[in-house]
This record gives sequence, C-alpha cells and structure tokens, in this order.
Amino acid sequence: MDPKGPIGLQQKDLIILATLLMMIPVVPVIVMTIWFAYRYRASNDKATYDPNFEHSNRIEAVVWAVPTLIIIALGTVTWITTHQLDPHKKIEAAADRSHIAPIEVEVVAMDWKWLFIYPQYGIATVNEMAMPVGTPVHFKITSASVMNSFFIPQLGSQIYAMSGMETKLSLRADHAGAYDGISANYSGNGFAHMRFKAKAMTDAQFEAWIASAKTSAQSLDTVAYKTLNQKNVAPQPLYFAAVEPLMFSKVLNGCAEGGLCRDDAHNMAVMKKLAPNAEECEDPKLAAATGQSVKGAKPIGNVAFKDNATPAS
Amino acid sequence: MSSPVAELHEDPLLRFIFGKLDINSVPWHDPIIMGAGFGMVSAAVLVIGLTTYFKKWGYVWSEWLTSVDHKKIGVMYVILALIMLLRGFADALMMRAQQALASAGGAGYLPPDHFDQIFTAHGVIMIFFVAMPLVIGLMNIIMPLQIGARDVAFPYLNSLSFWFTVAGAILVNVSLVVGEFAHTGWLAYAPLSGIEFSPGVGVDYYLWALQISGLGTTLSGVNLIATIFKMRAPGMTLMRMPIFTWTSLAANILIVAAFPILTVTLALLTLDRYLGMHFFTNDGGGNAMLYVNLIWAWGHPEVYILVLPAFGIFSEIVATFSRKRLFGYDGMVYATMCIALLSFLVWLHHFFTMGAGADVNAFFGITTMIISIPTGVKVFNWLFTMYRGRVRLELPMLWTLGFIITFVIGGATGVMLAIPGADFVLHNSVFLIAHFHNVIIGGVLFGCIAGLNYWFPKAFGFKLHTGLGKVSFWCWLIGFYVAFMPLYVLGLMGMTRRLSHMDNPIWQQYLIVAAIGALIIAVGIAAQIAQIVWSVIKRDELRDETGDPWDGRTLEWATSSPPPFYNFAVTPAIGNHDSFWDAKQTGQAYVQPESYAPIHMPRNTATGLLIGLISVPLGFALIWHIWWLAIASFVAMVGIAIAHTFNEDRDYYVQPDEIKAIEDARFAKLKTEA
Repeated sequence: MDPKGPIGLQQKDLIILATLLMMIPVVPVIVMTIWFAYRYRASNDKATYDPNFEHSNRIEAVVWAVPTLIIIALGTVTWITTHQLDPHKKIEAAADRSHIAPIEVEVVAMDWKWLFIYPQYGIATVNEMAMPVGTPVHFKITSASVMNSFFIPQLGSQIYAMSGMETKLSLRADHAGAYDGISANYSGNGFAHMRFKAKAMTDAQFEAWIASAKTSAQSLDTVAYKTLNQKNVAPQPLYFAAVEPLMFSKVLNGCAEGGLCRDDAHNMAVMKKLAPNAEECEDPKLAAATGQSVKGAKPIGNVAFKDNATPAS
Repeated sequence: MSSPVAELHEDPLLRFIFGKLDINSVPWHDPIIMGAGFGMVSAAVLVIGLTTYFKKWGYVWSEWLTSVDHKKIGVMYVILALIMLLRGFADALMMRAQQALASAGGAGYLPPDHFDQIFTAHGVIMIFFVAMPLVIGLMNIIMPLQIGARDVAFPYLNSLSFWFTVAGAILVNVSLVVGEFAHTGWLAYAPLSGIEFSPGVGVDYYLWALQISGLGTTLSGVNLIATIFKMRAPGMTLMRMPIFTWTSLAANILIVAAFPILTVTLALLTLDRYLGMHFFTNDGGGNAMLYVNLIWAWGHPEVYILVLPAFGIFSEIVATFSRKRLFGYDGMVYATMCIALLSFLVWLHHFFTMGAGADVNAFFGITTMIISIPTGVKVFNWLFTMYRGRVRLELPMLWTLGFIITFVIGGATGVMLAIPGADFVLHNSVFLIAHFHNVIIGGVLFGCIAGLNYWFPKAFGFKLHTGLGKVSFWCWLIGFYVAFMPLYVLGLMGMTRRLSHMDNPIWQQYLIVAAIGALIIAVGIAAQIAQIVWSVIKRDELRDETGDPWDGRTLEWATSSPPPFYNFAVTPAIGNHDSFWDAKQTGQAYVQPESYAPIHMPRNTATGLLIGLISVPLGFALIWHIWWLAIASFVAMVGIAIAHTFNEDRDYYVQPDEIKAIEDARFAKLKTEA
C-alpha cells in the first residue's frame, strides 16, 4: 500500500491497527497449538494427563472475556472510523489551500470505460481524469450499464457505480502523480481493460489540462453519448470540449440517449394523479428534444411533488 | 471463442423440437473444451464399461443407486464431491496459469469470455458441488449413527435429495460442452446476469442447476432436522448430543431458513430472463441492489452451513485424539447456536461499498466482528481439550492442527474486512479472495478431509494409508500458504479479483508464486487419490475388526465397521455425550445382548433416482426452451412421485434370527481380535 491522499492514509493506519489488534489472539493461539500438541504428545509420559478435565470457570471466563474485550475495542474503532471515512462525507482541502473550492466530477461507468464530466468546466473525458493536488474532489457516480466499483487504490475508498442510482465519494490527492483507476467489480467481457488514469497535478497544470480538453473537436451530446455507450473498450483517453447540460442527470434518469426521462415521467404521473381532469398540454421543448409528442397535465396552483433526481449543479 | 448465442431455427418445427439448441451450440473448434468434454465422456464410458464387464449392475443398482441407507447415500455424496473437486480444481489451475501468464501485458492462453466462465464455474462447483455434498455426505454417514438411529427420518426423501444434487452437477458439466456456462461470477449479480447483458444460455444453466440441487439441499435440511429432533436414542437429551450432531442441527436449521431465499432470488431472476419481468433490471422499476441483498441474505448463512459442521468434526477429533473429554461442551453448544443466529445479521458486510450510510455500515461491521467471539471460544476450547491430554498425531489430528493455525489467520483477515473503513480499499480485491479461501480451505475443506480420514474406517472397515495421507496433508498445507499469501500482498497492492489480463511485472512475480502453490496443492490432491486407491488395495492390512480404530468416544464407534444396515442391533441407552467412552470405562461396551427384537427398516426404492435423473432433461429443456420436453419431464416426475404413494410395500422387519447371525459373527471376530 502506498497511499497518496488523506483517505488512503487513514485506511492504511486503520488496517495496520486492526492487524496489530488481531495479533493479540492470533499469535498466542498459534503458539499454544504447537506447544500443547508437543507438550501433551502421547509419547510424553511426564506431562500431566487429566482425561476428565472438561470444565474450568476460570478458563471459560477468560476465553469469553478476551475475545469480547478485543471486539469491544475494535468495535469502537469501527464505529468511529466508519463515520470518519463515510464516502458521503465531504473532505476538506489541504491545510494551506482552504480557500480552494472543491472540484466536482460526475462519473459514469460504461461497458467498459469511464466517463468523467466536469460540470464546473463544461468538459468531459474518457478514461482519464485530472485534479489539482491538495484539492478535494467530490465524485457523483452512476452506471450506464451493469454494476461497477469506482476505485483509485492509491487515493483510498471505492464505491459502487449502479444504474439509476447515484453514489458519492470524496477524495484528495496530496502528491502529484498519475494513479491507476480501476473498476473493482466484475462487469463482463472488457472488465480487465476498464482502467483509467487519475492525474494529480499543480493548479497551473490542471488549468492547462482543462484548456487542452477544450480544444477537442468533439462535444458530448445525445448522439455522441450513444456512440460512446457501446460495448467496447477505449484504449486511448478521449476528450470532449463541451457537454450537453444535465448530461449526468439524464444518465441517471435513463434518457441520455434520448427518450423520456424517468423523473419527467414520474412528475407527469404525479401531476395526472393530483389533477385527473386537468386539461392536457404538450411541452414543446421536450417534444423538440426527444422527437416525441409527450402529453402532460397542466399544473394547477402550487403542486409540490417529490424531486427524485437532483440535477447536477 | 465467441459466446454461442444460438440463432433461432427458421423452421418452426425445428424450433419446436430443439428450442434454441443447434449443432453450433457445441464449441467444436475449442480444443480445451473439447478435450475436457472428451475426458468426461471417456471416464463415464469407462465406468459403465467396467461395471458391465464385471457384471456388477445388479449390485450397483440394489446396493447403491436405489439404496435409501443413509450411510450409502452419504458415501455417494462424498464420491460426487470428490469428482467435482477435480473439475473445480482444474478450473483453479487454469485461472492461476492465466493470471501468471497474462499479468505483465501478455495475452495468456484464455480469452476473457472463457476465463470469465472458468472463475464462475470454479466458485459454483466448489461451493455447491464440492463443499456442500462433502458436508451433507458426512452428516448423512455419521449423524444418525451418533444419535443411535437406524436411518434418517425420511429415507426415500434422502435418496431424492441426493439425486437432485447429482442432477444439478450433471447440468453444470453438460454446460461445459453444450452451450456455455454463466460468465457472471459465482453469485450472478444482476443486472449482469439479466437477459440484456447475458443473452446466452450460461446463466440459465446456472439458474436451473442451482434450483434443482438447491431443492435437494432444502429437503435434506428438513430431513436431517427431523432426524435429530425425533430419532435420538433414549436418554440422549439435547445437551447429551455429540458436538458434530449439534453443529449438524445448526447447519440444517440454517439450510431450511436460508435456502428458500436462494430459491426465491433465483426464481425472480428467472422471471426477469424468461418472462421479461423487471425485478432486477436497470429499467422498468427494477433494482439490482435488491438482488445483491437477497443473494447475500442466503450467501452469508451458507458460509456457516459449511463451516459449522467442520467445527463439529474438529471437536470430535480433538477429544478423541487427546483421549480427553471435550473442554467446555456447554460453551461449544452455545457458541454454535450464537454463530447460527448471528449469521443472519451480517449479510451487508459483503457490500459496504454500495453506499449505505455510516450507521448501517458500522452496525453490520460490528455484528460481523461479534461472530468472532463465539468462534474464538471454540478455538480456545479445542486448545484446552489438548491441554492435559494425550495427543496422538494421527492423520485427522494433523489436519485439525493445520486447521487451527490456518483458520485463525483467516479469521483475523476476516475481522479486518469487517471494518467498513478498511473494506473500502480491500473489497473485491484478491485480499478478499485470499481471506475466504483461507477460511473455506483452512476450515471447511481441512475439516472435511479430517472427517474423511477419521470416519473412513467406520464407513468401510479399514483405515486410510497414513504415509500417503501425510504427503497429502503437507502438500495441501504448504501449497495453501504458497498459493494464497501472495494474494494477500497483491490485494494490499490494489489488485482486484477476476482480472483476465493485467500489465504489471511486479504483480507477475507474486502470481507465479501463487501458481506454484496451486501446483503443490495439485500434488496434495493426487496424493489423496493415491491414498484412497492404495488403501483399497491394501485393505486387508489396514482392516479394523473392532469398529473402534481410534479409541473413540461417541456412539458411532460402538457398532461394527462398516455398520450393519440396521446400525445398532439394540437401541443404545445414553447417559452422556461421550457415551461410548463411558461404556468402555465401565465395561459395558461389547456386551452381546441375550436376545434381539425385530427391527423396522425401510425398503430400497428407485423413485428418488428416477425423479432426480428426469430432472436433468427438465432442466436442460428449460435452459434451451424445448418446451415439449420440459412438460413431458415434469409430468413424468410428478407421475412417478404419485405412483410411489401407491407403493404400500415400503418397509419390513428384520427378524431376530438374521440379526443374531450378523451379531454373532461380529462378536466372534471381536473375540479373536482380543
């Protein structure tokens, strides 16, 4: 393990602590196994033989108490660290960079490549992402396909990428470098090639990286997304100079390749239920975007309905 | 090799007759698969040929295939497990070879599609068709003897359970040659296993093989629970049962509680795949998280279904080979039942990385760790059983010592994985692979092999050869460490599981070492086969006439080896969990009763065999959408089951004369021994 960020470092320390705690019972057990087997070997007449020794309150108290105490200690550590290392928790910037705003990255696991959308910069990349050193990166993760697990081992925590669902992860790299990123959950034929580079760099290099992505001739819209979302691997990184608005939300809602979004369908259904006899109307914008004639009820008054998918900020 | 997704037959008649099956369903061009298929078919032909040549069909039919004797059925379970072990281990060797070859940028010799089927088959076979039949087989052979019963509660059901398990194993092996197996991983996570991402027949083989064998397992669980609760010898209260019987009870309760979850989960996936439903799909309101939760709600108890009986085996062996009472019997019982209960409260630890909140993750992490408390108690109780004992390092005891040392290491890494914060970097890595092989090989497999060595003389009347057994033990033990310690290191380095291809020369060194470890284990398995064959050849030298070759403590050693078909001529009375040991101490053992009463016994029946075997074409037809065959097979199975209910001649009484003749012969032999 060679962690390059605070999450990874904490996890390394946690693994070392857990290993040491587990040594407390493991080492004596191994020693006792060998020692008892040798000491009480059948050929050793000098050793005590007590064939009816089957119960001792003192020993039984110890064998229940020792594991219990270790587990109480480890359980406490578990409770604290699980909250500290909760992937949802947004981590801070490095001490000298507290004025820096976090980088937002939206991640889509595809068959078999990774799409990264930078909503603050309006760019997207495939199989390569970058971040400034010492700056927290807030990932929102979903999948366009089967379940994957988004993982940059040297920065710490992984989290599943699941279709129709959004998971969150917050990481930070404290040292410059190009780290391997992988899917840690088997996802089919191209799984072994579903890799990316996570590059941690200086602010200036990061700005230059964004700028060079902006020079790409491609932009990520519904058509380009459909082309990208084929079952294949991407041997080289790809860059998109511009991204259609709300692309990540559309992936989440199953309409990145066109069609009716799940949240829209849901909202329309809610509206119809709330106002069953309302006059129906067509949304010209939606009809233009999807090429379909979608009818919905006109909202009456202030209808509050559940916002089941937060659009990307 | 491309995934053989069959084009549907154009001709409606052909489609009706063959469903999705056609001549291209067999991968004729793949030398590895055709070689393996040829090997399997030749082995089957050889066995059938030899049986015919030696005119043994009558014997095989009446003494084995149609037998409802729990001991014979148990032995057949073990034989099935050992055959499938060879298949599952061949898969393991192929994986280790591929990863060793393809880790520094090389292509290896297996395309991803084939590699993915191999790791899926390896997991499915090792859990469902090696570990399960080994454990259930040993429970079948020994548990009724330990409680002084004549057979299990429902002997015909027992035969049916076994043949369903065989049917599942046959389907898995057919998938090697006809069509494909799932390439989804052994738990077939949705939506990857859904029709959208796995359109071939591989997942269908998986589903029907597990449904059929799982039905057998559930029925077997019901059967063995009823046996333990209703058929114990007089005087054997629950707290006087041998520990192996206790752990069998716990495991079977878990089977009955957990396997229905598996059945339902697989049924829902089947509905998704066959009828276009949306339980686990990405769209249409499906939710794959549901599948992962359900499959682990079965999957975690499954771990304890396997390991609890192994703990029971070790408990019997430690007491016997230390010539001492088991230390802390009551504690063992409570620890066993604690583990059984807790096993249902930890399933989420298999996916801390799904994004649950910190409270939920911490809760499941801590419940997982709590399991290590009763497990730790068991380990200490084994140690204090050796303490002040007279430890004989016979084969079963060697395996037990190897187990204790190996298992505590696996337990420690398990506790590490139970900490969500640590699991976020270790999840799905080869560290996890090393961990569960550490506990399943070190715990379940070592336990079953220890049990085989321990109870083989009970089942067959002669011991297994010690020298070859030691070769096997040391190869397994050393091979295990050489194969899996590098995986712990690789896991910490960030190597994830199920990679068909890597580009990292540093990893390659470790993977080559791991492959060497697998080869050492291969020598161990070869030694094991040699041990059995050699022992059969030398059986007269290894024979035991007393029925008690190890100076045993529990009731199974009180009868002859192999036991007569009625197990005990007179139902024994029990005063203690070490009842046979006590009887030997007080001189009550080996006393021939003056007279015998008639013994009520079940008759053999072919019904279980027939229904089980017809479930093979049923599964095959469902997999390939050959609906007429599916309907015909199902009707035949139900018809045979109904016909069986009209068979009134299903039991008989063994007459005292016959019992007396058998018992006189035994006591005459005992006299010459003495």
